[in-house]
Amino acid sequence: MIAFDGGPSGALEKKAPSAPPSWQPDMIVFCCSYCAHSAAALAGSRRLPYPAGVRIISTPCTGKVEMEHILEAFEKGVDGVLVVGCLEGGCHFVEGNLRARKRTDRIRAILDEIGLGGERLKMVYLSDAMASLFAECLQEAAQTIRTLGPNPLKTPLRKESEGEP
Amino acid sequence: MARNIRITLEGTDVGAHLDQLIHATASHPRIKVFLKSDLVRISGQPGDFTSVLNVNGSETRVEHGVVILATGGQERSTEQYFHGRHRDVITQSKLESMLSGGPPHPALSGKSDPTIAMIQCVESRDAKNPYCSRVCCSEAVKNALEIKRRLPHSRVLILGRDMRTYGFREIYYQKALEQGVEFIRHPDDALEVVENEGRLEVEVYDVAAGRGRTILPDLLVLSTGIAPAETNSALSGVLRSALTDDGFFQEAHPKLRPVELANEGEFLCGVAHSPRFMDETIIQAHAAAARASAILSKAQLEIVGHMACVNPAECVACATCVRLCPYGAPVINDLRKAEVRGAMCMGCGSCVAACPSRAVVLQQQEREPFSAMLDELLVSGGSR
Amino acid sequence: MIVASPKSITELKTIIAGHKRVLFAGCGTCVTVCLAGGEREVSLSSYAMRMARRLDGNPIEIDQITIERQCENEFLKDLVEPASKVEAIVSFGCGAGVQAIAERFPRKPVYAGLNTQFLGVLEEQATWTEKCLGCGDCMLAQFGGICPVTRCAKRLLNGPCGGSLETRCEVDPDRPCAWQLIYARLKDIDQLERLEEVVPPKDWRPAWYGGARKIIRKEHQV
Repeated sequence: MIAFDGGPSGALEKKAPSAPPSWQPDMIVFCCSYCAHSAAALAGSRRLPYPAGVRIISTPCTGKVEMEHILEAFEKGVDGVLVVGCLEGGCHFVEGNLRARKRTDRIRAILDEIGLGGERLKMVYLSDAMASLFAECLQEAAQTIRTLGPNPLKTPLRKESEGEP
Repeated sequence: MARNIRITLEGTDVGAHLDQLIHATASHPRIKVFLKSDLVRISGQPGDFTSVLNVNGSETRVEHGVVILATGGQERSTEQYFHGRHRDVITQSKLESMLSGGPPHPALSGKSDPTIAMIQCVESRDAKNPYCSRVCCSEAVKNALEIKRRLPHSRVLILGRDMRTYGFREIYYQKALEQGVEFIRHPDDALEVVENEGRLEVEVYDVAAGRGRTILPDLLVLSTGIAPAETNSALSGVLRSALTDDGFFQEAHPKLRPVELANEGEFLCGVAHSPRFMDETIIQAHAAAARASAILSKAQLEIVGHMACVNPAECVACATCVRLCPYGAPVINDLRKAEVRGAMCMGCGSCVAACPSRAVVLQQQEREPFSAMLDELLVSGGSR
Repeated sequence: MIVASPKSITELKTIIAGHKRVLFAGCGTCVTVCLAGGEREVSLSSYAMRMARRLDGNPIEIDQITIERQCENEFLKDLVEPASKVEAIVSFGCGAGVQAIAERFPRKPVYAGLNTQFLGVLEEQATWTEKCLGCGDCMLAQFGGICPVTRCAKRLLNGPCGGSLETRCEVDPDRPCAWQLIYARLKDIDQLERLEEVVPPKDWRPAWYGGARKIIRKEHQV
């Protein structure tokens, strides 16, 4: 857990000390329900390993991913975000993936500007048959995020036993 | 490919069946056949597609409700084992056409007891083409039986890493053994073919014998497997349908949607999907036709409820959504606010992410559930 | 419409450095349409600012509200309650909106979140160009509907300077020569003879030359 220095002179280290190699970063992966989600399902049925900290959120198209959603994820302490969509020219909805690329570019610039690090956000393009590429990209992203360290904005995760049933 | 096959393992006359099928198709009043044609462009939605075909150089528009892909495959060509460089090395399809009335191979002429060796899994089940083509072992057995029938004193050897005459085809494998066909099982890479003054020599490690053997065939037949059709790559782009790593078309879901492509209203069958026997292709084709009929038999199609909806109170009529939508679904209505025309909306949500007032929502995909979902996903011990 | 652009997070951070709780106020009219200060853009700035301040060890609380129009007192009423809870207000409206809010809440610091730039038009999605600088004495009839006061770099009123190259302005080759456009337009509407009329030097008094302007229309007073 990262402690906040309370005093006015205290400043949070922008990069936490590097975590052990076995650390599984918390990653949110937005998958378009045509190509990306099918590739993810195929990776699952083929038992291709991908990092344990990955949580997949399905959207009809990566063009639907709103910029605030990505920022919200980082504000809530997520270590990395991936947006996975169709191959360029292969978007089921014509050009949603191209829009998503421009939006992720902007968020990456914002993440760099505020000091969180734009490398925590990646966009991946693949087709629904590319299960191994899906798994590889997630592994690579997790590795990048391991070198960057945990999100300094992380708060301890709520345990399932606490709170209302 | 079907034209190269005269008779199936079970004895069906393929040539006659094919001729009858072609005749029935060409003369059917409700079937229009375009030969020497390519698909240039396709647009629209299930029940209402428009395609542009290049028919022998000129463009034709066709309106249709569904697409069924049955573009097949091809026998893989090879340069291994001196194929293409030595007269006496041929492929199984060449052997079959010889056996079905073509000119006999010079290597066999005049001989009553020639030696014919068949090598299985040529350029198959290796690093480049890891998949098994399913039909080659049965094809080899079929041709071996036919050779034995015509030349009872011939020596036929089938060299393979495995024999995959699966299911009831095992009966024909038994028959081949009874007829004296020799099956030599060898490990990977334990087979070599050399040329010695024009003479072919096959050196193979025989697992059953426990030692290496040298065979001097008069004719060497290669089972090279089935490769994806050359047009797959281009067609994949036009249809926006993915190919597998092996280059065949990827079905939407192997268990739940096995004869459909990912895009709604598009179906596939036969070797376009993967190597298979003709009876298996026909079964798959029936399945594809049945699934396609589900769309064609309806007078009206229901569309999924994922539609974008504008809240007019929040809308500032900036027309961002109007400009953005690839389907032209939003318009500025008489009340000077944006409105999404439901029938044209495909539910992609691009307008939702773009609206500067956040006035558009995608039904069943709203913002508040997203925040709640994010919170739940980040609970420790939850989804791990 | 009025066209503006968002300020950078870095600049905004400097502007509100001393505060612990602020209100980000968006405007639902011009700045929403030009994608600078509407609900979505203000949200993006809120998220980014909160994260930036937490990373600095100096967290900030940000409330957010977008009202219909900031230049209208009737709508500013909606800000009263949110404003009471914060130390300062950042307005994401145009310069007029920022100042209207500042007047309405004289004891609260009010800052601008946008850079207001010009009166313009959307050429294609995400590209706006300046068309009018509000000189107060419109002579567009003389120029076929293309304003040389705004769009000629030298503000010439009687024909081109002669320095244009391949229809581009010699001062800024990214811009078309306004007089080239005027000539083509007057030709198309068959009014080329206007070019022979001499336009006298512009009287800039109706423009901002004399300071901030005021308009009263007596027949509409209550």
